[in-house]
Amino acid sequence: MTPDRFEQLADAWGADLRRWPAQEQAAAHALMEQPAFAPAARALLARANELDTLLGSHAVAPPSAALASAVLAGLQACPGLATAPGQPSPHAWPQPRGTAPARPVRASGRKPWHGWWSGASIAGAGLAGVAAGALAVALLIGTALPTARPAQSEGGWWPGTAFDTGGALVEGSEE
Amino acid sequence: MAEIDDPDADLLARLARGEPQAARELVERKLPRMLGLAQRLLGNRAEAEEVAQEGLVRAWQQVGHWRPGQARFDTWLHEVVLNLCRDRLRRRAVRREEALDEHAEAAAFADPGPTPEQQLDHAQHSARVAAALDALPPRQREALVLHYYQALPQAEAAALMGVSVDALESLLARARRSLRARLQDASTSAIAAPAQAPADPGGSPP
Repeated sequence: MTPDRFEQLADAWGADLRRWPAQEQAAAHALMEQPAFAPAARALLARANELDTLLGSHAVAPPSAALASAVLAGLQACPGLATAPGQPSPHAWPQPRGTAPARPVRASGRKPWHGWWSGASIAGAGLAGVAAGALAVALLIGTALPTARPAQSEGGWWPGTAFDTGGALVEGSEE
Repeated sequence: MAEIDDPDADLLARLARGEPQAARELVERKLPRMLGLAQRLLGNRAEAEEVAQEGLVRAWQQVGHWRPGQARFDTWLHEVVLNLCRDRLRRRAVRREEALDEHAEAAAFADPGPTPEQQLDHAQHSARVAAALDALPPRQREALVLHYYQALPQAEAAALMGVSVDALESLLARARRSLRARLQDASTSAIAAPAQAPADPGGSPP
């Protein structure tokens, strides 16, 4: 590895060599052990660490209890999952416009739950039952299913999203 | 793609058996992570909450499409939420500049209030970084959030963005260069107070 490549890696992946491309980590360590380059390497990593530290100061507050409860309530209201396992096509889960259960509910606008998981027992009991079939299918025969393109291929029942546009944002997985 | 280990496999197996407690654990495990992804990409808490909620429900609805052994559940969930974020960003692109100005102004003139000085410094740092992230081109911001904050493996982050690992590296380099320039003023005080940074800046692994 050249010093220039070491600098490129530090500039892109940060100061933690464990997060550099695996195939280049050994060469990077070897370069750092060369006396002629060690001081420069330390300086480059220190500069990268400065930015890492700054980025680490950007905290995201944890979700509120109301939001968590709203998510569980939303999961509970997924009648599409009642579709028989083995028929995963989203087109088999028609949802009239305006009544799609997955539409988000602002947690802040909801009446607060009186307990952290006061809705969980209700939601959990329902959703586990309806989801189990679909999830079991995924776990057992997932590789036989059509290629996963979550939230991209179906239109019509989630108005106003990218999923109506037929692929403008399809840039995702190569999995 | 070779078979991969999935740290969520046990939880998902319990879900498949219909254990109600497993659903709650799924939310506890994934909601904070998806909220972080959405908030850092969207720069807006209320929208992030909507997207995180929408994404988890959407993923649940489409669980039959997930391909275990070829994609980790966490990565697949990222794809769902990422697409929702992209959609939001695209639809609000026209309004973005105005919102950014308001955000930057709020960060620059944060109400000092009665909070301790150290807490204020931390909040201001966080706001500055948030504003700097907002100012990045969307693809650079995605790359940085997926790699740095979400701590996704390189190949998975690249695949989610539809690029090679080399292209991901290029996006990261440009993002970090821009951020360094924008945050230059803040870096001195950050170095002087390293204890304010989290022990694991990359965030918790999935």
